[in-house]
Amino acid sequence: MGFLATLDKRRIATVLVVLLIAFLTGHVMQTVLADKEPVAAINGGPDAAPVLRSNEDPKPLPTPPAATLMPILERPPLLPRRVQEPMRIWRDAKMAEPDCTASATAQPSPAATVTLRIDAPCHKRATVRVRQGQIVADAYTNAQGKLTMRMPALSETVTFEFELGAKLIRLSAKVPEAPNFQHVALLWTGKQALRLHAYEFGALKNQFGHVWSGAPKSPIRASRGSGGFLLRLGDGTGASAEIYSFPAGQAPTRGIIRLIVEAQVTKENCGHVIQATALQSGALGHLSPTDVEYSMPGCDSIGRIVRLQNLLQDMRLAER
Amino acid sequence: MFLRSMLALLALFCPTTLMAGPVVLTTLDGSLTLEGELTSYDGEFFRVKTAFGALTMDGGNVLCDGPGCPDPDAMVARSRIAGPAGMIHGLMPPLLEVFAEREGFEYRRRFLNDSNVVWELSDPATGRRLAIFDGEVREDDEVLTHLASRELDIVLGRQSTKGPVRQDVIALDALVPIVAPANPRAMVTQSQLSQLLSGRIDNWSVLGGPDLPVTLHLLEGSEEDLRKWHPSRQLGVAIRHDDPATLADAVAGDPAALGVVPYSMIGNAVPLVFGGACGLAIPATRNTIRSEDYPLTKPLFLQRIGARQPKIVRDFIAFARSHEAQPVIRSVGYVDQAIGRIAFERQGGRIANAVLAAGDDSDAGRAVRDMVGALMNKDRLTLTFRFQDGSSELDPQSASNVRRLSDAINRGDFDGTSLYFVGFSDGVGPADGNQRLSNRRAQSVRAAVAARVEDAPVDLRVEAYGEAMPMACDDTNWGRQVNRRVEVWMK
Repeated sequence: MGFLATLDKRRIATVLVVLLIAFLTGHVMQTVLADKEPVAAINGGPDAAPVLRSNEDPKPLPTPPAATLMPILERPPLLPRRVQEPMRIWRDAKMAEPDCTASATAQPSPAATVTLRIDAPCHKRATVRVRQGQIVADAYTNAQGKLTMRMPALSETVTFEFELGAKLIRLSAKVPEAPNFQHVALLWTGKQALRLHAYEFGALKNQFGHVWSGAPKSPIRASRGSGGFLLRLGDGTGASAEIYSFPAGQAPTRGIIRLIVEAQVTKENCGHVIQATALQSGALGHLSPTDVEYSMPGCDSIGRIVRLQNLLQDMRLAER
Repeated sequence: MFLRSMLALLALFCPTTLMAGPVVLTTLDGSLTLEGELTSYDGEFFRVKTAFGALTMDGGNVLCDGPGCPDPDAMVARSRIAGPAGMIHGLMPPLLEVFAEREGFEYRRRFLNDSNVVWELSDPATGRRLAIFDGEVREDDEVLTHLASRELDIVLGRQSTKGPVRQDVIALDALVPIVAPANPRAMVTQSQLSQLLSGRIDNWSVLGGPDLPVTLHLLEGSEEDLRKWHPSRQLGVAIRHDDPATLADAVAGDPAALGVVPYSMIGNAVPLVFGGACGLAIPATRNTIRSEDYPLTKPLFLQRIGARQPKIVRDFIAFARSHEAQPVIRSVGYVDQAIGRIAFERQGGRIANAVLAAGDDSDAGRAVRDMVGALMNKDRLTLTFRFQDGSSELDPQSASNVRRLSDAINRGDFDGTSLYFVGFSDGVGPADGNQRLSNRRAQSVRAAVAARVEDAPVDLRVEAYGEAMPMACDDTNWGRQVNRRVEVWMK
């Protein structure tokens, strides 16, 4: 599986040979690929599917567009320790695995998002901590050690990091559409019932322009410039994030989008200070963090939803 | 809350417990030496009990020697700021963020709840905190009392004040009637607007619109604000809101709605243009608010007591009032005070009004011709000087303009140009009297600006055209006030 790392456009012959080897040795993997249900697919809705299939059909493994990919790098200082660990697991495992090398791909998808795929045959049902700049989320590989997730690209050149146990995979992609989008993100750790709500151009609750995790809308809609979409990352136990993205660069409408954060008072958080981080484009043009230290109401208010109206500022599109 | 009480404790104990003891303060140039007992040090100022009494010395100008000297690194400047939600949560964060970037500080915002926020500035190299600003959303009448009693260090808001409080206009806003984008709006006259507010016009069909009953949305306690357009202050049945954002959302979604909000809070609604019975109307835009041509312009103040603020806070205030802060202020929806230029060609409407107002009167016609001849090769600046009701005293926004214009001249922004202070009056009374009055006002504004200008290669001149170019109808008090003005033109 290490062939991805050596994939080079200029050595087509080598690639073909490697592909052949991959095909032969990858028979086990093919059954894995048939698995259409990644454990932690986050909003990887039907919009993304055509792109995925066209790449997977002809070859046993997804081949990312070479121009958008950089080789997988492993953090050198930690390497020796890591080599030993998988070896041990390997010996214990009954089923023979051809290789323990983890690989990851990042494929540009509609609305300046990126579809991330991780294939870590020795990390089944394992936590993967995914990072892009200030955004952190925990996702989980499935029974085959695979994970597919979708993330908005926050800049034209994005770098993703995957922490898989002691392993670190880093990969970059170019997303030329990225500067057209504005993002707002809410990050937290643990079981917090936090929700990001966007009310586009005067939309009221539950109307069409109300975008939140209950009505996240699709990136396809955003790629047409007609509205934003929300991606929720993480499963709400580890590091989670909600990211709202709006195609500000191509929006036909002028006006404002109101952004409100809601938190539910639960058995776990009542009477406590909840911590979260909000990211919003600040005066300097990049995502600026705000630390949230909000004292939740007491435990007699369990089930109540509190609204934080002033945490995020309205997103302003075009000026009057 | 915990943090706030901890900070309060720190503030209580630090100056007294750490800093009692003999000190010798020497000015940096060695010209003055003071001996005494240090009573407090707030990170910037030494208060020393000396043989001459209690003295306060700026820490930036002296060296401290002796066992009583504080460790300057252990001190954090702290400032408590109160203001409306829009300024605390909308305006302060970008101002502090850009200020921090300029000074090379690290900026961090900590959101505690919708009313309380903490901003911290720190040294990125050492991680040491340099300043803590506690922000609180408060808009009541008592904030200025709290400022006087030093419970607050800075107050942001619309309320102007006098006395020991120093105030600066840091941004502009305006009161604007709004309707939904779907409202088939046409211009209404001021008296129609007044009747809409009082409920005497209760259906849009009266104004030639569809047969829809008018739904009125108002902010709690807005009677006083509406006084200028709506002298009777009698308001019809209205849906009351606490928060201008909620009001604007309600109006934006309902074609039958009419509301009144600050310009900065229009949201997805649109302004309803209103004017006088003579047909002159001034829509609320960035330019008409900057030039105060729009009648309900409201300056937003930054107020503080005296100059005894820590240096980093003083630097921040200086930044917030500077021309560099103007794009930041504009980016969050307020109207900035940057000095813009409006070419003569873009003022066709105003010139047409002047021609129409002159009518068949040959003297008036000549005055308009002279004015057009003098101004047609010049640009108008957005900064305009207006006067308080029935007085020759400049209003707060105009007083701030004296500083802004002279600062810009001293900066060299107008080097090599001629600036014309052009006086205009309302049309009440005889034309020659109005001409003299407008000339006198223009002379006094020119003198106020010239007094602050240090020998710059700029020619400051005066022109006056009396009632030749009305901007609003003279049938209302605010209309006359809009007309009495000194414009600034440049060539």
